[in-house]
Amino acid sequence: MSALKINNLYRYFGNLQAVNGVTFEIPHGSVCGFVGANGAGKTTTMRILATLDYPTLGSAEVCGINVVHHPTEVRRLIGWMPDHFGNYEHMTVLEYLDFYARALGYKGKERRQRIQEVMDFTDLVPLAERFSNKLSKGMTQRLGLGRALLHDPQVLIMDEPAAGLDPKARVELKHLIRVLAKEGKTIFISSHILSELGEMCDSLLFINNGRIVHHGDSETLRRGSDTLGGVLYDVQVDGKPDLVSDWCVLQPNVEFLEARKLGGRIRIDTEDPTKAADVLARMVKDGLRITEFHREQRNLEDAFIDIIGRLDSGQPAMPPPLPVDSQI
Amino acid sequence: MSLTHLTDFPDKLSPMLVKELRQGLRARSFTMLFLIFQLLLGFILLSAGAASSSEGAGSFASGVIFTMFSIAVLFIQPMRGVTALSAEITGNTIEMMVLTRLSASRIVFGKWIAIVSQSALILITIIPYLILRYFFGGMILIGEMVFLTLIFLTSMALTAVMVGFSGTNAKLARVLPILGFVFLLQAIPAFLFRGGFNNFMSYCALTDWESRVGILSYVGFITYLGWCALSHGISVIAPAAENHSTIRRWIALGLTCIAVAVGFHHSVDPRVMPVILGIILAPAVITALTEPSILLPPICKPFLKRGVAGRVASLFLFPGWPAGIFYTTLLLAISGAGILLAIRSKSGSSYEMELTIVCLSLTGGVLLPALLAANFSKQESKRFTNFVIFLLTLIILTIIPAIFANMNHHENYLWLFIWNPLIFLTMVDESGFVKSQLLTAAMIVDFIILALLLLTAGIAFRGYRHILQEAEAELVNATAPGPAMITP
Repeated sequence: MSALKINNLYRYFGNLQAVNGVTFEIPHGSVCGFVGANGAGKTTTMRILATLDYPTLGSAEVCGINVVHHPTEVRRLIGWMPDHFGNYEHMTVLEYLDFYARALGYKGKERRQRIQEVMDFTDLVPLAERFSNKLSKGMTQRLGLGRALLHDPQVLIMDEPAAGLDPKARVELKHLIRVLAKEGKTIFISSHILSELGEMCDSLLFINNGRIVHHGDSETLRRGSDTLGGVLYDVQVDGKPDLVSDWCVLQPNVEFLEARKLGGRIRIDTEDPTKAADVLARMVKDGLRITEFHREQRNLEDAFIDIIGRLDSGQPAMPPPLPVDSQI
Repeated sequence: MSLTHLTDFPDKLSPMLVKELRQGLRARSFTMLFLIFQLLLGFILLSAGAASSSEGAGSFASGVIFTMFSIAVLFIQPMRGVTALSAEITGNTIEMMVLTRLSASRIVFGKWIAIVSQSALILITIIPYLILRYFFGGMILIGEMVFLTLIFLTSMALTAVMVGFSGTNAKLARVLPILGFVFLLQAIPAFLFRGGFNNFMSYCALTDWESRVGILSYVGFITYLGWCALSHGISVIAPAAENHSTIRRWIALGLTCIAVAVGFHHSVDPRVMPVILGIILAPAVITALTEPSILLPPICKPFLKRGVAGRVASLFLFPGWPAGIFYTTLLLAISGAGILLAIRSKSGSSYEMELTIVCLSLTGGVLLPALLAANFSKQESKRFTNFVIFLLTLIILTIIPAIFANMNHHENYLWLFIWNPLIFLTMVDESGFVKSQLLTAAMIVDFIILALLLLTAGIAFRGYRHILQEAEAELVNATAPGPAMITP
């Protein structure tokens, strides 16, 4: 059973189709990044999973429980951290967590113990007596995370938690998420900063105009081909670097892109690794003394833009979804 | 870090109350009110004490105490509820609360009780001043105690109104009660110092049957009003899968039936019935006609489980304005039939044409904005806002033509505005109109509006089909042997 499962989900706001037939599954204990432009449908999808909104059509489940039919049960399983939330006036950090701990049903010693654990984990102890509305953005996010973790949820849904954070706060947040992932929590996190998601996440979901356009791990994306199916290689030679560009002119499937100190960057117009091997063999046969020949990884922003580009050019953007077991 | 001060409130207290008290007691608005209140009362009573030999010092002291108390608990304290829910909604904190084990009703009641308990604190602090005032003489003890209780109960109801409507996204709807408070504020001293106070004290002494019934009716009315307002607030913040509407409709339906039944009693004047029914119906009908039309399978299931009876009941009791229209029609039919039968059953009672026109005008005045809101509200959440805007527009479109007609002595010009049922309120006062014609016109206008509303509701109900199908499938899955499917 998956931790999160969405099946053919639609959400309309009047004539606006915010979510348009979204389907995906996220296995237990994995960290999944949710990527998309503003208005792509990320927050709506996450809010439906958090039982704060409802689908027009389709279903959403958390640990096998339908979010529409059994919202109360789902709420016990999830921790929700919205992109923006206000804090209360005249209420300290400690009182803020105490209120939510009481609201979650914790009593007496157990409540104090749980608050202590959460404050220790999120490093809120030094801020305990500060008024919650006087915290910096980074501190507020830690407080939000602490609140979301009070009832020790199995699944954590985080909408843009790193937005507006300074680099230090971002690193701290990333560290906390890594620790939570190690503890076996399922984390579904949206962000605009793809490089960070790539480091943290086991899989990435790209959403565009309310549709899922990619679901896979970040490594596959980095190693994937570009819009036209080409793959980039870094080639270094012993001798004049121009030899590489000269050689490429005569090759039908190879394009020289950029000269480098010891060679150049080339593009082979197929993803098939045997073709790359053929190219390398031909280079050697033609007398090039190759010292380096390796496939270049794309960054995730390029991959995202490539996928959106494929969509615009009418090509299928989404590779077959990964089997659930292989995603971890 | 010390967690010991987290035991300052016992576990048994509602988390909302604890939160609101922690925040509220630190809020400058409360501490300033409390201190200024004590200082002023102390100063004025000392001054009155110095002049205690003069006649009427006791009455003056009572006037001061009650004026100060009234301003504090009837104006300032309820006003503190004006952003109670809206601040949580705009601050994005209401959703985080909803995700805990706090239900929408506990959130709203917690907010209300927190302000009421602060008002109670103010009430407790004036008791020493009342004891002091006793020594000035001339005190109607029971009367003043009952009056004090009534002020406090009114404060509770007004706080409930402010808290309940603070959840609506219509700033206008939140501002309107403030205007009412301003009116109340200037009326209080006038009432307390111009002879009204002593007369009312005598009335509050509960010496006769009439005053007891009067005060009990008033308490009943403000309790109902407060409950309706809180219930409205609960509906606004509750998740879509929670149904707070059906119970509210059952209660209003029950009260309507009781009021109709009481109307048949020989001692009840049938002319009072429209007033009582109006008080019961107005909040119930306005809420029913402006509820967002969001229906989810979990809400349908309890109705579908009850077979044909459940399906019939769902027409009237499903949350949302489409069922609200059928429900309103039902309430109006029961009320209308009840009044007519009560009049017929009593010898000597006569059918009053003017009162009927007024009733039809007010009914249409609620139905027309609901019709406009049903057809021109793009966002479900703004339906109530739009209703308020349309209602205010209709009121303005009643007042302006009436002023023009009076100024130019062209009363017949008002016929142009009979599409607005509220215009009949001004026409019924004019001598130039034949009352039977007005009655016929008012009936036709109301009938057309109601017919259009029912048509709109019927169309909207058709949109529920796939939700009902999903709920039915879920019921079948739940009753089928073997592992239950979560969704079809």
